[in-house]
Amino acid sequence: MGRPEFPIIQFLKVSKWYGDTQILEDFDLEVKAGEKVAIIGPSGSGKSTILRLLMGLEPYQSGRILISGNLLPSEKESHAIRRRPPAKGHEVGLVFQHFNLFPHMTAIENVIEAPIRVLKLSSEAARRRAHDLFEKVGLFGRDDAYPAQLSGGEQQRVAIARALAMQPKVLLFDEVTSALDPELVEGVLNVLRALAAESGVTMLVVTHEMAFARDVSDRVLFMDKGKIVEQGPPSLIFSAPQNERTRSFLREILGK
Amino acid sequence: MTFDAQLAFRILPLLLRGLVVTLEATLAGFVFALAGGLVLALGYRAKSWPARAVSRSLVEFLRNTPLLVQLYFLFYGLPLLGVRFSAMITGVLGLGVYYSAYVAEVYRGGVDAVPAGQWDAARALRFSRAQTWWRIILPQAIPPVIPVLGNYLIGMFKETPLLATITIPELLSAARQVTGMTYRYSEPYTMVALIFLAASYSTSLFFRRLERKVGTS
Repeated sequence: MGRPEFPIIQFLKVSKWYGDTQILEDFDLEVKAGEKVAIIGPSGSGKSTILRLLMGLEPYQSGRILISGNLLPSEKESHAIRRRPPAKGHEVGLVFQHFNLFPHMTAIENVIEAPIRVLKLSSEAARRRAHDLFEKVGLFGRDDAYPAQLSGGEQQRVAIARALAMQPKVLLFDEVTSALDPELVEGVLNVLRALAAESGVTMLVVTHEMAFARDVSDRVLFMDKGKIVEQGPPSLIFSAPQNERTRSFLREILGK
Repeated sequence: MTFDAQLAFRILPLLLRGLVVTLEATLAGFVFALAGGLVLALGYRAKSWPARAVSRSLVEFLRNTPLLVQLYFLFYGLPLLGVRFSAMITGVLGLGVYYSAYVAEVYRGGVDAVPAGQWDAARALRFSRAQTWWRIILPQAIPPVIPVLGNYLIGMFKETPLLATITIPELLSAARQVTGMTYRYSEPYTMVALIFLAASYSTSLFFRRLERKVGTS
């Protein structure tokens, strides 16, 4: 990181509602370039909303969100969210809980489609990139399989490769192992661990896997009811949480 | 009532010439409806609310007025506005516009059935709106509705006798011409019914096969 102190992501007093329900309340967050942040907390606490906001998939009503210093505009016409053109210059990628692979395309087509159409890469360059990434995520000999023919673990590897193929500066992972069969979880987590260890990409990881959160992150946020209740280095949050809500959440999820 | 098989056989070439006109009008009208329906279906989800409102109200208007009235309007009304088309073009336009509304609803059903996650993924990969439609949404939305489109093709085909009212020499007109010359009714109209049956039924078989193929891929 050339400028490790530069905040690549800034939330300034961001509030977000779904109808009458407030999801985020005066939410503040700064993430430095290259930082790995794990976001934990009970469901409905607004964790995934943070990622969806950064990806531009949701409107927000007040405050400001900046990515690399560029404003992601707040959106008053909330119903028109899918109709906005994609934000340019915000190199953010998102891996979804339910993969959201394109079912009518093969594994490799899923990965090369956006580099070819959006980044204007040649087909050969895109394929080379896809093969490098398949190697990285541990997917071999499945290029021409359709998503329906892949296991959940394989599908999520394709989805990770698909996001990486756009070479984002910020990678968002939204509970990427929650939809997987238990025996497939660890394999996918290991892909993410390797990714976090080797790359300078900024990562925001929403997860229920506490061991993984501890391994992968520089900082852990515990969220509840649209606010950050507590944050700090994983060693501190997991061994000596200060807040009572953090403690009871961890007790429940870790079963101690 | 008698049925003269020989007469029926003799008038067949004349009727088949009418059938050709019917098929031309049906196919051209259907292609128009497929394209027009797509425009309307995209309009449903357009960025601007006027485009959405226009699409919606146009579909409601077209679906809630009789095709025959629309044909008369085009055939007798347009020339008064200084727009002159041949009868055939007017007929194709009439069928096409009318069925656009139904086809738009079919597409809409297909588009609504595509999971929201597909839109999210397209956006996360920074596809443009046009790329999202052509590469991601429509390839998933259209194959499942092909059988329904097939039903509308057959439906349109069976409505073509209305074109006789605006002087297009289609199948029913040909039959009427025969009755005018021979004063025989049972043969020409029976033949017309059989020809419609044969063409509609074979088309429906074709779409059933297509449905199976699309369903298993």
